[in-house]
Amino acid sequence: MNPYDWNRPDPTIEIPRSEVVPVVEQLRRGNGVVILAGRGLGKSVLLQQVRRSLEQSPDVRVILFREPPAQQTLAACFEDLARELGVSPSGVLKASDLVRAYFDRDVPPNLVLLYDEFDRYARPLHGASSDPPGRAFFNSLQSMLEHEAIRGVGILAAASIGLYLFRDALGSSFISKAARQRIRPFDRSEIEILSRPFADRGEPLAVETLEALHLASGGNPALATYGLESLWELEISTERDVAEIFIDFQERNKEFLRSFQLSFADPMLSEAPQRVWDLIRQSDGEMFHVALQEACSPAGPLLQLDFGDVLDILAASGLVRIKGSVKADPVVVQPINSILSLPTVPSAIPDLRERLRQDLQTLLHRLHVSSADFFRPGKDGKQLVPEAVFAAFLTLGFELLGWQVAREAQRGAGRTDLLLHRAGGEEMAIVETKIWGRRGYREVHQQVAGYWTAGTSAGAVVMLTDAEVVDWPERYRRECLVDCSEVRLAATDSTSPTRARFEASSRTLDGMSVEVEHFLLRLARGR
Amino acid sequence: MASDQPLSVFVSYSHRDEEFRHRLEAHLAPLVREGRIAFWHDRKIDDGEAWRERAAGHLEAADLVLLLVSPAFLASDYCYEIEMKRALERHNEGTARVVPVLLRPVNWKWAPFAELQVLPLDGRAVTSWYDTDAAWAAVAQGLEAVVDGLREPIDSIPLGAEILRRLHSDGADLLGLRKIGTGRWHLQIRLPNELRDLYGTASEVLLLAAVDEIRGEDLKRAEEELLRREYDLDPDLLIVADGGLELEDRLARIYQLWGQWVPWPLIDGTLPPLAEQFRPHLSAYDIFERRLPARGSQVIGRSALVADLSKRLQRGQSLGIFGLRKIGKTTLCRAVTDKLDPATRLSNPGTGRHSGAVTVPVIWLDVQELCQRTLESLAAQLVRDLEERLLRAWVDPRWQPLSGDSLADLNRLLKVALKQAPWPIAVVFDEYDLLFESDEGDPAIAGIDRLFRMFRAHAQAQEPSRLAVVVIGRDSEFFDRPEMNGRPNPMLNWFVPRWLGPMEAADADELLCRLGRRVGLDIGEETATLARRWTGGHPLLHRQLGSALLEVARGRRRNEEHIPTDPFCTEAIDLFVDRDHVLTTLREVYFLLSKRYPEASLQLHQLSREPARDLRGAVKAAGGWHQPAIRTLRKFGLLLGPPAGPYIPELLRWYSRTFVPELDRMAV
Repeated sequence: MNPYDWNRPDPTIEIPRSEVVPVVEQLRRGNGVVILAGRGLGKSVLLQQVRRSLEQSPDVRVILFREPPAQQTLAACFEDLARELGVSPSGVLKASDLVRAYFDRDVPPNLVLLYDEFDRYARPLHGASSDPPGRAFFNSLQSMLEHEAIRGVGILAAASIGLYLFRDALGSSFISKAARQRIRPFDRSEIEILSRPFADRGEPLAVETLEALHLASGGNPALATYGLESLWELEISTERDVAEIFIDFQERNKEFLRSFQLSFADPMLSEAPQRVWDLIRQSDGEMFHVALQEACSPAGPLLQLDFGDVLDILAASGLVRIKGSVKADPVVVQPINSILSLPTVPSAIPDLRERLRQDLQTLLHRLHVSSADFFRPGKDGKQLVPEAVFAAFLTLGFELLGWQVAREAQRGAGRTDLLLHRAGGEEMAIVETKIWGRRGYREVHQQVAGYWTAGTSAGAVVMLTDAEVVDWPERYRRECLVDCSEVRLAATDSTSPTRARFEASSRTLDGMSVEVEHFLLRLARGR
Repeated sequence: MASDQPLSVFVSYSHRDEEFRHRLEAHLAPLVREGRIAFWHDRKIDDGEAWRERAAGHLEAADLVLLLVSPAFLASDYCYEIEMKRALERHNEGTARVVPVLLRPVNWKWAPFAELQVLPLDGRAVTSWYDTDAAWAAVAQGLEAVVDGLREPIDSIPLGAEILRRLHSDGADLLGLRKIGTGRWHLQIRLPNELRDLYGTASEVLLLAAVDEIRGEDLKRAEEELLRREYDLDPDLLIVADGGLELEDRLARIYQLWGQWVPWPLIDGTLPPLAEQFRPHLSAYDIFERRLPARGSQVIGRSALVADLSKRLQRGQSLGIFGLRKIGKTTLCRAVTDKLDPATRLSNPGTGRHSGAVTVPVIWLDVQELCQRTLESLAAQLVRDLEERLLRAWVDPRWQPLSGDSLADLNRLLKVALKQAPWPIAVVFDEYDLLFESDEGDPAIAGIDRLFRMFRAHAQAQEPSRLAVVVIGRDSEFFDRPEMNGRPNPMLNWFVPRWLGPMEAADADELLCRLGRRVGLDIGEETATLARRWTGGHPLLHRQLGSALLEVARGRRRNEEHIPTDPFCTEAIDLFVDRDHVLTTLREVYFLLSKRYPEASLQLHQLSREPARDLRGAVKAAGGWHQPAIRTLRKFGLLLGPPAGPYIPELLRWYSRTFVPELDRMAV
C-alpha cells in the first residue's frame, strides 16, 4: 500500500519541523503567533505538531479550529469558540468572560487555541472594501490575551498572504503584536527522511533521484510527497522519472498551481508580489532597493506592501531564499528551483536553433543564480551533483518552456542526453550535459553527433564546472573541440553567466552536417 | 495545637446569609468527616442559652475564624464590630487564623481584614462566578490548604527549614508565609539591598516552595498571586524551590507562561545563595520583550502627565487620549485610573490589599473585547460593569432594569449613580476608534452617537461635571466631524484632547537602564544617546532596542556581573532594525499616514531624506511648525520639535530611505 498521499492534511509520514520549538516558546509566553506559509508548505501539519508538542503536558488543553464557521460573523466565531470551550455563550458580552467561565471549571491551567485557514477569516465578505469579520474576532482574542485576569492562554494562527488583509484594512492589534514564524521548505536531508519507506521495502531511492526530487519540488512538502507517491508505484525509479512525474503534475493539478499562485500573489489584493517575483526570476540573484521599491509602488487594490513584506511572502511560499538582511542593498535573494519557480515564458522566435539557444540561456541563467541548489556535501567539501541531476533539471525546464522531451530517451538512469522537439513540430534538438573533468567530457561533441539524425536541426552542449579553470575557453577548444571542422567563439551577452559559447561544426559518418553550440558555465559554491 | 485534634472553626456571618453558611458547610463536610475540623456557629446554641457569652467563648477558642463577607455582614454591627474585631486581634496575636470568604461583591478595601488573603482566591465573590458550585469548591479547596497549613508549619519539613536558614544567611527577610495546598507554600520575602540594587528588582518577591515536584498549576497559581499583589511584590520575578531533583530541567519542561523565574534547587540538602541563582537566570529571560501593557511598578516615566490627567478626571473633564499604536496610551491611562480607583488596578478588583482611597470610580471597557458590535450589547456591558462597580463601592443603586432596552437602563442607572455616589465617575473606552470605524463609511456600531449623546447630557447636567468619559485611540477623527448620523456630532467641543508622543529623554533612559540592569546589562551614556536618536523615545521601539542589546550581549557574556553596552551598541542597531516587531511598528506608522494623512506621509518622506542638520530649514520651507502636515507629524511624535529637535527618529528616516521610493517614482 502506498504510504504517501499528498492530499492528506495529516500525512502518515511526518518530518519533525524545527519551527515547532520557537512557536511553542512564544505560546508559553502568552503571545499570539502567526505562521506564514504558502500553499503546500505544511501549515496544517505544523499546527498538528505544535498541538502534539503542547499536549505532552497535562497542564495544557489545545483546541484546533480547522476552518472558520460557515456563517462568517463575529457572533458565529464566538459561538464556535464557546462550543469548543464547553461554555454557554448566552449572556456573554466579552471574550474574556467566555474564557473566564471556562477556567472557572476544573480544567487544565493553560489553553491554546489553534486557528487554521486564517486567511479565510480575513477575506472581506461583501466586496473588497468591507471589514473582514475575523478582524474584530482576533482583536477580541488579543485583548483577552492582554486581560489582566487571564493568564495561560496562547493563540496560534496559520496564514498566507491574507494575513496582510488584517493589517491593511483597518489595522489589527492581533497581527500587530503577534510573533511571526515562517515555514521553510524541506532540505535534502528531510526529503531523504521522507523517503524512508522506500528503504524499508528494500528499494532505497538513489541519491540522484532524491536530488532531482528536491530540485523539482523545491522542498515544498506537498510536492515532495506527490513525487514520492508517484515514484512508489514505479518498479525502478530514476531522476528522469522525477522530471516526468512533475511534468505530469503540471497538467493534472492546475488547481493546486492556481491556488499556490494565489497564496502569494493574488492580484485582487496586490500586484507587488508578482512584480517582485518576476524581477527576481530575471535577476542575477541580487536585487537593488530602488528596483524593489518601484515594484511595490503603487499599492495594490487592497494591500499596501513594502518590499520587506513581499520578500517575506515569497520566502514563506518557498519561492526564494534570502541571504543576509533585506536592509543590505542589494538584497541577496535567489529563486529556489522547483516546478513552481522555473521560467515558463518561452522564446517567441520561430527558428528552432535560435529558440533552443535562447531558452537554454534562460535556464542556464537560472542555474547560475541558484547554483547553491546544485552542490551537495562530498569528501572534500561541497561538490556538484551528478550530471544526470542537471539533465533532469533541464528536462523540467524545457518542458515548462513549451518543449517536449522524448520520454523514451530519458528513461535510463544516468542518461544525460535530451531529445527535444516543439509541440506539433517534427524538427528535433539534442542537448547534452557534462561536468568538466568527469568521465567522457572530452568526447561530448562526438556524443551529440552520435545522436544526430536527419530530423535533428539543433544541438547543444552544457559544460559545467565549479572549479576556476585557467584559460577555460581555450582549454575547452583544445580538449573538446579538436576534431571539429569549424569552431567559432560566439559573442555572449554581457549579462550572460556563461563563460564562453562556441559554435562548432562537424560531420557524421554518413555525411550529415552537425552544428552544436557549446555553453561553458561555472557554478559558484558560495552563491 | 495538637495535630490529631480537629481544628476548631468559628463562622461569623449575618443571619441574612444563612443559606450561604449551609452551602459552605456542605462543601466542607469531608473535612469534618475526616476529623480535621469541627464547626461552630451561633445556630449551634440552644434557645434560651446566653448566646453572646457562648459565642464569645467559642471565638476565643477557635483556631480558624471564617468571616462570611457580604453587604449584610458589613452592615451588621455585631458581626463587624464585635466578632470581626476580636477575631482580627487574635489573628494579629498569632493565636488564630482569620479567613474572609466573599459571598457577594462588596467594597471592603477599607475593612480591617483587607490585609488578609480572601477566598475564593481570585477575589471574585461567590455570587459573581458563573458557576457558584465551582466557586464553593474553590473556597473549600482554599480552606483545606489553610487547614493543612495550620496543621503543618513550613519548618516542619527539611526544605522549609533550609529555606528559612538560607534566607537568613543571605540577609533576606521572610515577611509572609501562606500555605496554598498540600506541601505548598507562598513565601513573601524581602531581598537584601545589594541584590535588589544589582538587578533592579522590587524589594519584595514571591517564593514558591513545594515539598514534592512543582506542577504547572502551582506556577499558574503563583502567577495569579503576583498579579493580585502587583503593588507589593515584583510582578516579573518568581523564585521556585522544591524537594525534587533537576528542578531547572523540570521547570523548563512544564508548560507555563512565566518567564523570569529563578529555580532554587536543593543540592545535597542545601540551597545555594540566591545571588548565585539570580546571575544566570535573570539574564536568560528577555524582559524587554514583555508585551503586555505595563502596570504598577512596571510603569516608567510620564508621571507629570499622569498627575495632570488625574486632576482633570477628578474635575469631571472628559479626555481624548490619542496617539500611535504601542506608544503607551493604555499604560498611561491605566496609571491614571489605577491611581484614582485602586480597586481597578488589581487583576480581580476587590481583592488583596491596596492603599489609597477611591477618588473617581472607573468603568474600563476595551472595545475590542466585545463579542457583538451592537449598541445593545455595548450598553448591556456598561450596565453590567457600572452596577458591579457601584456595588463594590458599597453604593447600592437599588434599581431594577426595566425596559429590555439596555441604553435606557444605562441612562437610568447613570442617573441614580451620579446622584448617590459621592465621587465623579469615569467611563473609559480603550480602542474607541472601533466604535466608529469601518471601511464603508458608517460607524461600526450603528447608533453609537446615541450613547455619546446620553453621556454628554449626563456630563453637562451638573457643574462641575460628575461624569468623565475617556476615549483612547489613534486619533481625533471622529471628534472633528460636524455631524454624526445627520445630527450634530455629540463629541464636538466636549473632550480635552491629549496627544501622546514618545517618552521624554530621561524617562527613555530610565526604561533602558532599569530593564537593562534586570538582565545584566550596564547601559552606558553612549548607548542611551544612540537609542534615543534611533527610537525617539517610542516605548516599544526602545524596548526592542534593549532586546537587541541583550541579544548581542548574550554572545559576549563572560563572567561579569553586568556587561557594559557602549562597546557594542552600534552593532545592536543592526539587529534592531531587522526585528519583526520593529518593522511591523514602522509599517503601521507609514500605512496609517498614507491612508489617513497622505499629506503628512509625503512630508515625512521628504523630511526623512533631508540631512539632519538641514531639517530646521526644511521645516521652514515646508510652511513652518503650523503647517497642517507638519502639525500632524508633531502630534504623532514623528517629528520632534524644540528643544531637542527638530529631528526625526533615525529609525523612521532609515525606513523611509530603505523601503519607500523617491517621490518622483512614487504613485500616491
